[in-house]
Amino acid sequence: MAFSSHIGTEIVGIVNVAPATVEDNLELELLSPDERSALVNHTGIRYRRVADKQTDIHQLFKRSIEELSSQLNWDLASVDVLVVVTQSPQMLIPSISNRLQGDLNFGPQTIAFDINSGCSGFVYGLNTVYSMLASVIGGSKKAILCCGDLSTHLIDENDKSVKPIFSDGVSAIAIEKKENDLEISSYFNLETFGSGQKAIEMLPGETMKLNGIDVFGYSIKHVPQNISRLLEIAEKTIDFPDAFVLHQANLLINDSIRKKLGVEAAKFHYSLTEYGNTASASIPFTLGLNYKKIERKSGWILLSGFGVGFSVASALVRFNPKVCSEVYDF
Amino acid sequence: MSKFIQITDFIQFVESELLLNAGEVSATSEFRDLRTWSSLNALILISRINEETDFVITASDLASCKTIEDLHQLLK
Repeated sequence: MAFSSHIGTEIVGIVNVAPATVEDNLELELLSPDERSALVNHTGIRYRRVADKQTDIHQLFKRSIEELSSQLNWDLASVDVLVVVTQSPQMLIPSISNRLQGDLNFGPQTIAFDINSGCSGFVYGLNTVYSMLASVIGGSKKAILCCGDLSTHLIDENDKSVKPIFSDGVSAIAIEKKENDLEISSYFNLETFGSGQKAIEMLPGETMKLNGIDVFGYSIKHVPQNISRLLEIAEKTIDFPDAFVLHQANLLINDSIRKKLGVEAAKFHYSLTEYGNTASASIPFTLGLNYKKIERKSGWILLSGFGVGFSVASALVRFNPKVCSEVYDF
Repeated sequence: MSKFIQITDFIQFVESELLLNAGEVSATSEFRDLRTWSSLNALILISRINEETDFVITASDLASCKTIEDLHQLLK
């Protein structure tokens, strides 16, 4: 079990971008009318965003960074770290982060690399960026984390187990370490359960397959434990976070996790109805949609990503961003 | 498991969760042949079993079972 904590580093901005095309699960021809309403009721997913096959995810990341830097008035030339988390790059070589560094006004000192990670990827990426900012000498102590997928490019259009679930979207997150802030600002608990590697997989030349029963099993077995251990390490109780923002798998899984943790429904936030499962962008999407509704007491929130791997990553973070946008259409 | 010690209780539970009429399910019913069985309803049933018993049925468990009685045996 890998725990870590960081000092003086915080998320200062979030911008979310999704393709403008919306599909409605209540009109999904793949399912019968009864199946459609049962699916929406139990998964919580009504609408999904779908990119056309020509769209390159690089374009959405570029738009999200431009919007983020503009809203924060950040000069990209001063950014120390640029990390992209995705599993759906249209071009494998070079990496998306390298392309973004070249296409936008980042400087040559910007560390840029990609991480291949799915639904736990936002929290893995966050921990990676927080760790790097702690070790950078000099610099601005500013970083941008991008995450998200065009998952609809990876699936079989006729697969009833994935088509109604996955949705396209990306996020750009601005992170800053303040030199004069010496307080702990985050705790992380990252875990891997490789025995669950077949729960979600994509073999060469095939589309992505999801075994819903095993995803459910791994999620409800490991996610509540991961969160509980994180709170223990941080010496906080389950009442401490102002909000719980989990990867948006589906309502069945997320609500089962909530009940096992014993968290009141009002503190558990969702973006499933409007945006479905947006993979590693689902936590930032949910933050964007719900930030104004969060009742602020401790000033800390609990984030948890879980999925492909099987990988589980939770974070307890101080959260007071200057920018936390809803979703921009692309 | 305590909730489903008797198979009759489990049968009633399955009928209720799968929106079937009383008497539509028996111990020897093959669950994949039930009128409302689907991948979504399988997931719903498994999540409700977990909620009631804390037992996690895996895809491999499910593949090894054929009847409602087989499922009930898993919970023992």
